[in-house]
Amino acid sequence: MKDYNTYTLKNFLEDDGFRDWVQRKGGPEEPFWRSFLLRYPGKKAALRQAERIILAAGHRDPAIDSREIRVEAEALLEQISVHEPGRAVETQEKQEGAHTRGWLPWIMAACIAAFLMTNHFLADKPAPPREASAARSLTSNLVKTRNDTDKPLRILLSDNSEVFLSPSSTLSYPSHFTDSSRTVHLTGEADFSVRKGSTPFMVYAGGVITKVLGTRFVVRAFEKDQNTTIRVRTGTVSVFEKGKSGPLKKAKENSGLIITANQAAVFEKSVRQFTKTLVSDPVRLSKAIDFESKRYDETQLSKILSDLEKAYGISILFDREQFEKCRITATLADENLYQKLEMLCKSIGAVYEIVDGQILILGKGC
Amino acid sequence: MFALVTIMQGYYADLYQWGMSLHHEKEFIKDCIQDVFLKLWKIRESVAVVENVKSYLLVTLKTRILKELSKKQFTHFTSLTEEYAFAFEFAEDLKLIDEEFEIYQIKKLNLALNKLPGRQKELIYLRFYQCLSFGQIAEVMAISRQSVYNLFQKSLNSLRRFYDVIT
Repeated sequence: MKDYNTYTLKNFLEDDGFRDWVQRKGGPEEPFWRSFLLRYPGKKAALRQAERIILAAGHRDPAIDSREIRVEAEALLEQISVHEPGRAVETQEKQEGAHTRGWLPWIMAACIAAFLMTNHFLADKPAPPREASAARSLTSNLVKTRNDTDKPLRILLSDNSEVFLSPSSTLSYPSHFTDSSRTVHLTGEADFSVRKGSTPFMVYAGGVITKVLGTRFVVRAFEKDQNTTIRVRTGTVSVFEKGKSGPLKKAKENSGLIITANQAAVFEKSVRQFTKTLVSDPVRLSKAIDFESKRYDETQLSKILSDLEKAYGISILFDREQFEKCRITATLADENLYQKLEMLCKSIGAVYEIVDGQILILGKGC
Repeated sequence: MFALVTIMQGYYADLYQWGMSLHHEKEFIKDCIQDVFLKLWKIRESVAVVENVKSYLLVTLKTRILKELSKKQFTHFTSLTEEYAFAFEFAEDLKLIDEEFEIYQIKKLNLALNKLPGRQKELIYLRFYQCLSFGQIAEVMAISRQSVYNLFQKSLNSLRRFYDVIT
């Protein structure tokens, strides 16, 4: 076991995990180093100095561009073919006599397959592009991660909750959650998968507090946007406005909303008001009803709607008496929920509306 | 053979960078890299399981470059440990730093790093630029692991001399 209490500048620099952490490569030791100073506050000076040295020995822009590398790879392939005539013929046949330029797609296709193989066999994978790293700064015990890449960035919190931070977004979170609360601050967008815990998990974003115990949801709160939206994938979350004085005013909490899977809350910042609606891409929560193979034959509308209700966990309201006689013959295999509804409505001359996170079917009936 | 090409593509930038630090001549380095991979292809059946591809490639390329150079320049590098130039300019990574004091510190350290003598610079380069472990560095520099640790200590001492704030 390493004794971090006696760690010196040299020890830090000799520690592979530490180096990888400073260089933002992720790795299994990341959570450990993130909260290192909380556990060993006396090591701050040495750790900072080691961090500076690593950054000072930094990277310059790649000295050779990817096009040049590709040319070299082509050259290698040609060289190999010269030394292995049999192979060259085999490849040329597949290529139908294409000349040198035609090698390229071949290499690309092969690379995908080969990468799968090499990743299994090589102890050391080729390093990912380094410019795609995200910013991290340590201020006291709060970690701030900003995603400057163009892909979602995965962050693992100390309670094992997982966050995918969207591009141009920032998440602040304690390196270690205390026993009394799990609170993070977001600007921009993030997809949360919160582990069930004894304390509520709270996201502060765009004037709204989203509170959950364990569930999956997406918060979108870019400063430039007029609205803050919270979309729930699974489970239940409660949202309420962030109070002016204290962060957690009971009265404010009461004025909030409860939203469930496939529902979304939109907070209009200018008028400070919540609206409940549905997400744009509802996902099926239950696979019990197999729409792919199921064929409805002269089936009562109410039966089909109740199937949809169950599958998507969204309530569908309609006048039972009015639609009592409606019979429908259809398959609802490929479409998403809204397309399914549209199809059903069309066949009975009705329309649907999304009201308060529910679906309302309106029409004269059959 | 596609796997080999893939490996080449994956490591090319690192190898090229490394080669250029040892001898700053673009086409010469590119040729050496081609030779290394072609040789690897030829001996593919007899090559033992390589534990770390990157350090294996770095050391093979270095051997190749020094050998070619000795032919070219009529000088003799009898072993890898002999004196040769290692010219690499560290560029500080300030993308994520916005604090003026920190920037100043890192820039100062960067100057100090770039003043290190050849072998020490090579070690720092392999450690923090190519991200090798101490065992792999020993392999690439063809010295024992203990010698690497000693050399590392020496580098830190040199840094301290250049840069008095390090304690």
